[in-house]
Amino acid sequence: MPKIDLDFKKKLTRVEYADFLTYCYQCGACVGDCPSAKLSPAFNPREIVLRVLLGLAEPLLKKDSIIWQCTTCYTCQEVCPQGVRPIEVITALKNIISAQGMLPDSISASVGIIKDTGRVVLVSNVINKRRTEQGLTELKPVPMDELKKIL
Amino acid sequence: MEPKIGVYICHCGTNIAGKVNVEEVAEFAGKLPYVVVSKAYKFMCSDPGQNLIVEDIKKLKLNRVVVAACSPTMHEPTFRRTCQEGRLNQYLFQMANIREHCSWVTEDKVEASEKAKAIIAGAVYKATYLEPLEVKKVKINPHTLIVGGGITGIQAALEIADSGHKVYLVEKEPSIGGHMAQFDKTFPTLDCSACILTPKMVQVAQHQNIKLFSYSEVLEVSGFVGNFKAKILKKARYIDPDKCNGCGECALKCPIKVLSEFDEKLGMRRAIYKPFAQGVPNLFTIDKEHCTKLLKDKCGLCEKICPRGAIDYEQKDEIIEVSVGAIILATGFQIFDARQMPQYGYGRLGNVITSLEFERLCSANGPTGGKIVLKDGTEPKSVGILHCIGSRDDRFHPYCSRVCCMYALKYSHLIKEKTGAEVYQFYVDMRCFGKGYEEFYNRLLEEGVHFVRGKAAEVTDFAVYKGEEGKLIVRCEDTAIGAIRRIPLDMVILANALEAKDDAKELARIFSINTGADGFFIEKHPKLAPVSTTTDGVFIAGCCQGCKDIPDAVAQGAAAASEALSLIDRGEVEIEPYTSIINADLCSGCKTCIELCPYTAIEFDEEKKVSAVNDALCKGCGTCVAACPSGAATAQHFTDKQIFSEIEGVLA
Repeated sequence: MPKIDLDFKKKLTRVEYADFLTYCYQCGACVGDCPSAKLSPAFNPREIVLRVLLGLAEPLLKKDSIIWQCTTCYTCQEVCPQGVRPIEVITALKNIISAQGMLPDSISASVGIIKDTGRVVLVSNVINKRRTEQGLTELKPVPMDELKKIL
Repeated sequence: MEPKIGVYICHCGTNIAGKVNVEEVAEFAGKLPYVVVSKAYKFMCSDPGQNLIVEDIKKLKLNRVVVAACSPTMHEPTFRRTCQEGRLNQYLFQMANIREHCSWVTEDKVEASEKAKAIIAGAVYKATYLEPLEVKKVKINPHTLIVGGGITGIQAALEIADSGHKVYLVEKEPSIGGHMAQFDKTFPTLDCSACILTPKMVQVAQHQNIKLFSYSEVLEVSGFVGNFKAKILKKARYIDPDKCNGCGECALKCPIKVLSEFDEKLGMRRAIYKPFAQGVPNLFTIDKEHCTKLLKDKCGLCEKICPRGAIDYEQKDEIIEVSVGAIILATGFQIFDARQMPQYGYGRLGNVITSLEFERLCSANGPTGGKIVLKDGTEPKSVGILHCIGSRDDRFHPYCSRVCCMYALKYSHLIKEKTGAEVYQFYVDMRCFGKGYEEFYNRLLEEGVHFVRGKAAEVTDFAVYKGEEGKLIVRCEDTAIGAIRRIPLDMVILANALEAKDDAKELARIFSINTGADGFFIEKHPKLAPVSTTTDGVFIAGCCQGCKDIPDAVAQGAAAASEALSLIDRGEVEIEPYTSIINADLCSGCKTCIELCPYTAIEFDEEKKVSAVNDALCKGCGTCVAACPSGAATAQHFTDKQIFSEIEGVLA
């Protein structure tokens, strides 16, 4: 039997915007419009909210949790008739995973790149060449000392 | 005579005592000036609670009573009667609200007790200066005004008229019947809507006690319970009602075609028209927005063709004033505009239709003669019904519209019966709560309707897979199996929410009642006074109060009729003496108050050169009191002295 953790819900209801999850009536409008769910049937924002509500969120808090398939497109928030904001629930879950040091390797790698360069995508000569062709300015390195202060 | 005040603090079970330390507060109140007795009791409104007051009045010769309990709306009348029982003038009673204003809204127990003390001190200080007043009795006009000629208004009108009282029934449209006249069948019994409604409509037209004002609107209402005056605008229909016999020759010849409102713009009517064949009254109406004779003085065919000479292009709008004792509002609802949810394609995709459009398609007297067809005239092979469009939705209407699940079941049956098409219901929760409703649901399960549990995300005509070309595709999660589905369909029906009419706020203003956050009229009490309003003598019934089905609307129509009759049969009504009085010795005759009075209740006495209040019209709003430069106007029961003293008490 899976362990039921009813206190977990309370943890999320203290997070701003994630706290709307209690209003979910499981209509599935979010899933019907979710681009990730379309490609990966195992990813289901309605079920994620339900698991949190029922205290069955444990499988979502593992190192290779399904929640990382969320593209943060905010469609679920747009379509929800109850104003639930599943995306904020997912973001809160991501933060909990991160705090426990259980980020998936690919995400850890991205975090590392941001820490080192200040960007998610590394600037290459090809990118700058294309930008010049389009009449855009070249990208300069991020001022790392300022970024470190912010972080 | 020196004031002797008794203070009674109610526990209200734990409602008050759970937050307020009632014993401590009672002790505090006992020490306030002129207080001779102060007690706390479990339920002051109970018989023993009231007896406590009666006995103290007799034994301690109390001449003021303060009860600290709930809102005066709830129990002020109760304790006033208690005082009368103790032979104390009822206006020497003062209520202190320590429930709604204090215990229910304060979290901290110490703070709640302190606030209760302040509220009670205010009431005691005010009570010191209370003066005995006498209620006035006014005769009640025995007629009733009913606004709205849908099934609710019709029911109310017939109930009252059958009891021998006169009814003025005002309907905005050219015919009575309302939305029910548009329906084909009614759930769950599948009675033919017209067959059960039309006889009632005819009864209204023929009843000697009902004066029907169709194509009319109420412009203005003045007066008070038992004595209202209403101004009714009777719009010109350019037809002499005494001559027109509804033969319809005129409409056959009229060259102007207009989209029919009654047919939800799916069919055409003429510029001279009757909304539907069974319309009541049996009169035609010329639509002045479209008639070329009225617009450009061209045509005039109907006048030439009418065998009875009933056409009258010169007819003018009329304003009629009626006097009534009671008013019933049964102004109904409108349906949610599905264009506000573009994901479902209404207005963009031809075969996405609303619930009312489907009713007209299905109806034997509708534009297709009762055939369920697509825009191209062919029969659909598959139909989807999308529930909760605009209802149970935080962005539009948070409430459940209460009828959609059931009419969706009704539609499913009719579609199966008439076309044999596959029917899909996209529902969030099935709500089949009424008598015979769950059984109807079972019947539809038996008939093989597909129930998909999930709110549809989108209706699109963008085909991705084979078999979707030329179809409407409903995309949704079937939450019962946890899979996303794309279901290709020929026709999609949107179960639009019921909502308050656009003019509900304006109507509420005219009749001095209120609308709630959902836009519907608010009843006086959700359980115990469901058809009364905060304005005595004005009742509400049917969908103008909130979403309901036909049985509930009819029940409310009858309930409002019985409330109105019980008021009328009382013969006279007691009026609170909270009127303003003008002291003629102080009045300088400046007339400031006359200009400001919103109820035109102040007249100028030319002989004495002073203003005088007509207390039948005065509502005691206090505008004149605040404005009077000489301090000659006083609001009874709310005198300056009483109010300042109350403030002092709160701050003491």
